[in-house]
Parts: sequence; C-alpha cells; structure tokens
Amino acid sequence: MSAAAEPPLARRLLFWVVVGMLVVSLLIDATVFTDAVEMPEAALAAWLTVVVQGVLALALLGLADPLRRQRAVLAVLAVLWGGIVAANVAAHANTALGSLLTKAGLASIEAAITAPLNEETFKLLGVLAVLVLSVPSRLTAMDGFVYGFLVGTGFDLIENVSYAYQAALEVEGGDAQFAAALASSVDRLVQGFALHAFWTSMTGAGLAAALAAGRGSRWRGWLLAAGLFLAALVLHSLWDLPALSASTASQDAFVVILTLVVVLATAAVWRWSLGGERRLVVADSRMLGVAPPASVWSLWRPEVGGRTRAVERAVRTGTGIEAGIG
Amino acid sequence: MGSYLRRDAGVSAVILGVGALLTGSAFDADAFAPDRPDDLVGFYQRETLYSSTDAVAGYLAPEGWETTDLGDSAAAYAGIEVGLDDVELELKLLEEVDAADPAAALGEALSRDVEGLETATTASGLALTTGWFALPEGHTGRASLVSPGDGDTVEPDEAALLVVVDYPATADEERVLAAVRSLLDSVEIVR
Repeated sequence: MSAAAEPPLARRLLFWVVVGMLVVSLLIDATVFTDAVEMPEAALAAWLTVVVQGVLALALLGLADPLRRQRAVLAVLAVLWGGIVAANVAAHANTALGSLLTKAGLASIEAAITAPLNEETFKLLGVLAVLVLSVPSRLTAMDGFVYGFLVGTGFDLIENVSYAYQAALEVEGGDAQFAAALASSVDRLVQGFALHAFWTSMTGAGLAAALAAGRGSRWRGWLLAAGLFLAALVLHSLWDLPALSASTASQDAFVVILTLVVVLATAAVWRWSLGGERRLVVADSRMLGVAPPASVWSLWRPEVGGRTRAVERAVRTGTGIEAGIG
Repeated sequence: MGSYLRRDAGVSAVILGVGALLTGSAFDADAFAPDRPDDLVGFYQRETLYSSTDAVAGYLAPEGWETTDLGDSAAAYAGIEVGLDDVELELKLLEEVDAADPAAALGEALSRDVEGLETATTASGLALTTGWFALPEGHTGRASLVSPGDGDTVEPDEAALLVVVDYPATADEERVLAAVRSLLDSVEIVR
C-alpha cells in the first residue's frame, strides 16, 4: 500500500486561504489583543483564565482521543480558526442578522437565532478546512470530533476574553478591572465550560464521517452530519434563549439540565466516534497480521496507538506501511 | 498534486462562499429592511403596575427586571417619540436599596427632597413609593420606586426599579401619563 506523497502544507492552496482568512480577521478586529495594552490588569486576569481553561480542555481532549493521530500543526490551525476567524466573523454576522431580526420584531430571541446559525457554521467551515488539509490521512469521525473540539476551544477562549474586557470596561481603575475581568472569566469557566468545544465536536464528527463515507453510504453520512449539525444548533439556541422565568432557581435548573444534555449528547457522539477508530485499527491489525484490539477500550493500550500513528504517517508520506513502522 | 489543487480550490470556494453569504446577505438585508421596533414575541409575562397616584403605569415586572434597554442599568426615553416634546422618561435599576425605608431610598436615589410621598402596593405585592419634585425651567419630576421583596436590603439580583418622569408643570397630566404609558409600552421590561 503506497499512496502518492502528500504535498507539504505550504504548497496547499487551502492552507493559504485559511492563513489569509486569519490575517484578514485580525485586520478587521484585533481588539481582543489590542485591548490588553489599554487594560493590562484585565488582560492579565482574562489570559490567565484562558491558560487554565486551555489546559483543562486539552487534558480532556487527550483523555478522549486515545490514538491521537491528528497532526499538531493542523490542531494549532484549528484553534486559531476558532478563536480568530470564527469568533470574529461570526460576531459581525451576528450583529447584522440580529439587527435584521430586531426590525422584524424578534428582538427577544435574536441571539438564540443568530448565534447558533452563524457561530456553528463558521466553526464548522474551519473543521472542514482542517479535515481536507489532513487528507490523505484516513478520516474517521474522531478526526472531526478532535478538530471540532479544538476549533470550539479556540472560540470559547477568545469569547471569554471578550466578555472579560466588557466586564472590565464597566469599572474604573486597574484593581477593579482585574477583579471584574477575573469574575467574568471564572463565571464563564464554571458555567458553560467548553460548550462551544462540545457543540463543534458533535458537528465535526458528523462532517468527518460524511467525508469519509464510501460511495454506498454517502447519503447516510451526509444525513447524519446534517442531523448532528441540527442537534448542535438546537442545543446552542436553547443556551442563548432569554430566561423563561424570573425565578433564579428555575433559571439555574434550566442551565444545569441543558448542560447535562449537552455533555451526554457529546459523550454519545464521542463513543460512536471511538467505534470508528476501532474499525480503523482492526483493519490495520489484519493488514499487519497482528491481533486486533478486542474493544474500543483497548485503544488506550500504548502499542495500539503507536502502531496506528506509524501506519498513519506511512500513508501520509507515501512511504508504505513497512517503512512507516520500520 | 492536481487532485489536491482541485480539492483545495473547491473547499476554498465553499468556505469563502458560505462565509460571504452569511455575512454579506445579513448586512444587505439589514440595510434595506424597514424598521419595526416592537417585539412581536410574547415571550414573557407582563403585568400592569398600579400606583395610588397613577403617576406611573405600564408594563413592569413584579420581581426582577431584565431588559436589553437596561443593559447598563439605565435607559432614557424622549417623549418626542410619542408626540410630546417636553416629556422625558428615565428608567434605572438600583442595587443595595434599603427596602425597609423606600421613601428615604427614593430621596437618596434622586439626591434631592421628594414631596408628596405616597406609598402603595403593586398588583403583585411589591412596594411602590411615589413622589414629586420641582425641576428648573418650570418642569416637574415625578419619581416612583418599586422595591421587590421586603427584606432590609434589596439583593443585587433583585434590583429596585426607579422610574422618573420629567414633564412641564403646565402640561396636561393625562396627556403626560398617556405618553408615559406609550413609552413604557415600547420598552421591553420583562421577567
């Protein structure tokens, strides 16, 4: 099995389109970075929390993805897309569509329409770009889950920084701005941790499964992708709905229940994605003449992960499996 | 190499096209859409606030206030929007109000002495304190403070609502009240 060698990323048109969109997005609005100069205390609080949330998110992803076949450079690109392109462009699209919906008499629920539609779409476009750039690696739903989680994490982090700056702007003085930014960041960290990552990991898994589907199951793959995208839209929309009651207890209960539903839905998609990883490893094991893993849980055995990464590298570089694992 | 280029070109077109469609179409449609400020979604319960002096009537929530207009805890409205040039209405959320003494809280919130203080209870049982004060240039200010809860101090998430109407002393009070009602009708104050 020897595939054509993959051209380096620097010679991929799509890579430069993604880089170009990163640059243009920063040119349009880089306040999330430039505000740090005007509000250094707030920036310190916000970015400290970003580090904490980033580490927690990556640790969670590390636990969820036993084989870790994804390329580091594409993982970084995914985070940057989520934090810079998706967060930035979606914010402008939200403003425009929100104004339109307000004119249509839908002010109460405009955020519940604009945020899911624009943000989930722009995040998924980033997942699409990274998945296509990862070809000829063998795509599975887990690739989409992982890259989606990373795009969503980038979005989560930058959105939290923006909220921290907004909170800091309402008070004066460095200490007060530090406290306001920290309170906002901690609140966002505790309530709604990694929600964008969860939603986009669901839509990403569906997209990857559709892209990886064979000719016979292509329609089923795209239907599944559409279903997962719709599910993420609905969950995101529920999160952005105005409170249905003034009762603090009922508001808290709603948040807890919705968070639980999001976590359970993401866990279900993750479990299904693991199944795809196992099928990949079973196929590789048979090809290599070694015993296939007995269950998805055996994917966490080091030899399984190492073997799979070697095969992945061999496919990508076109050197053949023997050379890749040699 | 050629297959990569074709695939990359196709996906780039999809990304740029969908992105431009979502942003561009919303901006274009917004630019041409007629303005229609009323919120058509009957999403919340509303109730009329009654006052013994009927100085303020409108849609005020019985507990807690949340409105886009009060996002920065205060909002002002000009009567010109409803045909009364000289009437102004201000809504303000107040935290840490001494709910046990709303009359003093009203004076403190306004930083001035308030005359003709009257207390009442809203339909939902909230304390309502109303009074008036003189303003320069022949204007009268009428203020109402709605205090949720009956504890010693209003909790931050149960902010009191201060409603101040500024109108010419010679104005027809019925017209002023009608204007205030119209203004309040256009403000989304929800629970």
